[in-house]
Amino acid sequence: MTQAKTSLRQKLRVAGFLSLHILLVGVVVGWGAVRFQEWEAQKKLPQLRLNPLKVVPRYDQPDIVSEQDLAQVLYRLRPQFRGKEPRINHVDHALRFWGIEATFDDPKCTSGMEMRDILLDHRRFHQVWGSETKPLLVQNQFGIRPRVQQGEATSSHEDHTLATLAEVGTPVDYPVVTSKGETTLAAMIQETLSSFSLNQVEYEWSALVFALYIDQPQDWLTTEGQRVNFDTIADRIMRQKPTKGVCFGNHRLHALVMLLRVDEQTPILTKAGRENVIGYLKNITQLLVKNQSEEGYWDKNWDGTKLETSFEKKFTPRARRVLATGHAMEWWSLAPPEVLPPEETLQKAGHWLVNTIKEMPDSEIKSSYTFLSHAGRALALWRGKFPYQVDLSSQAD
Amino acid sequence: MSVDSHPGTTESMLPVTKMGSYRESFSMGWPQLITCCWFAVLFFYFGNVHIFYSDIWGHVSYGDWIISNQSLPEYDPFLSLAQGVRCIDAAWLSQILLAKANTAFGVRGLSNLFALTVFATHVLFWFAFYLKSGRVGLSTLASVLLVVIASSRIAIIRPEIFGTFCVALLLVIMAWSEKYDSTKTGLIAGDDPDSLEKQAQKTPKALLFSLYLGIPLIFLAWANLHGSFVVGLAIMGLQFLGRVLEVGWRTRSLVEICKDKWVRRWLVVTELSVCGALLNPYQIDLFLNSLTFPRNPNLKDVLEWEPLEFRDAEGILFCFAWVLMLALYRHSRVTIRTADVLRVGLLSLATIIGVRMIGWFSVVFVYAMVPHLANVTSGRTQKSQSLTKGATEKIPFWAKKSPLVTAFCVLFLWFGFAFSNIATPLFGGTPRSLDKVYSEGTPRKLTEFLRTHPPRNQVWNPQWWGDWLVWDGPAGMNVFMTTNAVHLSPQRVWKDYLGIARASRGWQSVAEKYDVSTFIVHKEKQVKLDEEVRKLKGFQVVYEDDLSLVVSREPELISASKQAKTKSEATTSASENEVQQ
Repeated sequence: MTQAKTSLRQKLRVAGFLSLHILLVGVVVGWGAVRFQEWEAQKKLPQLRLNPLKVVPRYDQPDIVSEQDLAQVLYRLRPQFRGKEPRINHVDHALRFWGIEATFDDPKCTSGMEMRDILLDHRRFHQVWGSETKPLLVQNQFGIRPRVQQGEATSSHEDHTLATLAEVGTPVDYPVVTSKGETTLAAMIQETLSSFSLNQVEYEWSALVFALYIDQPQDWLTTEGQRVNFDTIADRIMRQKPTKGVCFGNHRLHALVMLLRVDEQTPILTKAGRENVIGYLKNITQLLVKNQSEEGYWDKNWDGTKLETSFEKKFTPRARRVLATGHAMEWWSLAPPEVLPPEETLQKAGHWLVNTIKEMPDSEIKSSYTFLSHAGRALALWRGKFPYQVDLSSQAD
Repeated sequence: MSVDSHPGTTESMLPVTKMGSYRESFSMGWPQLITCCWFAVLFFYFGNVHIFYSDIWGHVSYGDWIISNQSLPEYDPFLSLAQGVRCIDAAWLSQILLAKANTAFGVRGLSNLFALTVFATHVLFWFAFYLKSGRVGLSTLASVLLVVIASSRIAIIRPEIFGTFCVALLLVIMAWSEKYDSTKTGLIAGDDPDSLEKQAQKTPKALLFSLYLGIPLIFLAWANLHGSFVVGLAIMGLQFLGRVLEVGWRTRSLVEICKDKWVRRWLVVTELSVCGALLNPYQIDLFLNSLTFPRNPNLKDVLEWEPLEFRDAEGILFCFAWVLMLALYRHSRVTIRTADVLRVGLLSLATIIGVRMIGWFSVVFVYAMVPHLANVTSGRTQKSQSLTKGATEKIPFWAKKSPLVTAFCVLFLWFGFAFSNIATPLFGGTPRSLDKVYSEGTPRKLTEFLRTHPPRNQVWNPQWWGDWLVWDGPAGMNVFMTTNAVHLSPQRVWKDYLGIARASRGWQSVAEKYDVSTFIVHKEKQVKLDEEVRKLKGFQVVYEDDLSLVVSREPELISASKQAKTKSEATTSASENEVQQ
């Protein structure tokens, strides 16, 4: 009886000992697990708004382009891509240019919705590009993304397609059909958020996607563990020399303007961050004003450095000038008044663009379509309209 | 505590009378002489180690930053490209110590702090080995073995030295306690379990004090000094686990395991150690950071975090250690302790994964091997003694003691101290030249130039010079990479850094992405980049010496270099004119 009591007491003591230490170890391990979960929770991506923010035109300046000239220019830049194998960078540029609402009487032209389908519905892509071509939309570890810079059936720049869809107002729940199945646009946005690195080569369109889609902007952690916000993204955009980057650096400037415009709708920049961006753009404007040609255009050396054309095989001088001038006019058309150049500068540039595009042969319009789309859009925005809002019916005659 | 009370000591083999004469008390033998000689050499060597140009300067800069800001950095304070990446500064206390030493005693103070810390660490290791073996000579042999295996990691001045000091303290207490915790299971061959049972009851209070208070305090300091405290916790945890397995294997009873005094002790001490380590500015986050740190993808490109290469010096020494271990286990009659096997196994694995861990492997390896080394060598000594005893009745040469040897011991220790650099302030004389304090590859002239002509924009630099440039270069210089921040740098930045460093295809456009306006090149180690940067359009060589090259497109630097060139040409032509006249 005593032995049994002792044995029971011993067992109880052992149980007590074990319980106490299991509890202690459990507390520390539990604490560690909770903190680890909190670490992981910090990596959560920002929430997306259902419909992207819209940045609307803010000026209407007939001195830059008349209604008639605008209609003539835009008519020349219709998206005549119906048929086999339309280049994807043409499709997404045209979609951005004309918008989802665009429809055309010309049977050779594709409508905005048709262009969106080519980009987001693999079945439609398959129809125009054939079964031999690899799908445009592919799955990776983070989600769905379009293939980039792998030929004519792929997007031309990192996140360009997604930025186009954002600018034309595609909601995040819009269905996306890939070769593997159906998902929504949110999967593509999450992919770009997850794979984003502050130091990636092309970041201008990623910044645009984030600014237009992120709801209640706040800091977030990239997969590299770096905390970023729109101030740091703006700093990154302003880091390089002015003319460095795609389209002689103009997309960086466009992205900065878009950040300012989104900031007016929902604060995404700090006060200091906004002032930095405005200061930077003012300096850029000064450079442009200083270096504008007599005729009104700019070239790739719009920052005033010596023009280097020895390695230039891609573009003709006219193409280069349309590219530089059209892009500058586009970001100015959306920019706050404090960063705008004198009206004379804008008028000279506008007139030069109109005359040049009017004179361009069709073949050159076809080969230079991507940057002509920026010039055309710029002219429409200077009249306070999106291109699809311009009446082209008079031109058909 | 008496070191001679060790049950397995072989010192009893020597003829010691209770009332030894004055002469006998001051007599020492060859083992003591060799030990003194070894430590004199170690002290002299550590006092002469050059301060490498690498991460030490980053740590001193961090220490200065912490002192001046009275807070820990949230992000790396010197690497703008790592802004936004959370910095858990696991070595903040070491960095403060290094910064304070530098402020108080200058760069020589840093060197002396290193020498004293590392020397004290090795004395403690020796003492731990002595507690385990009870033999002076053998402990010295173990100390040599440790130094040899860890030779690639021993002469680097960085916060890890404080971590090693902590592990040495820990091993001293563990070695002391192992004399008691091994008794109950009769682990030492030939022990009488009953007498040892009695002895086990008498665990000295000082030992208990060291266990329950000393070890947690060590971990409190260690967790704030260096991230290697997790290795210490693993050592402690495996000590507990080893004991559990031993008792469990013997008794096959959970109740017996829980009743075992040393199982309870090691468990409580481990728990207290964890509590001690949790007292740091980051609390549990420091643990998580230390555990997840080796997973940082950037470390794959860092030499010391690469897997063990068996053809390298470390690989050969690692293999040698394993061969030695197998040989000792084959011939030793001492029971193999489970905790030792677990520790050696874990640290071997860690070393194979990351060669940097060889320093920690060498510690647990030698600690585990000491009893076996003692057993194997004592078997041979006894054999030779018994043979010689029958023949001549003479004390062997090795066991002889003499006051003359003692005098030589004192002399060696004195020489080791007197000829070291630490003694210079005490005895006067010319302090060690700064050329000998800094390692040969330290770009001192380069930072002198940069201080006079500071680059304003982004600088690209070899990462191994980054910390020195931050420390000795102009304030606020925008360096591209530092050794100290490799793990904090975003992966893309690190890859881009490597691309430029190797002058890989398209490196110029990568550099343009960061708007690099000045390149600093290590001429000897970056031969290809050296050739390429000279051809960069818009850039000019603004500085060049035997070691380094600076090319820049910053107008201030270019005009400064032109002025310097004109000045030196004028000086040269003037001196030529003087010669002709």
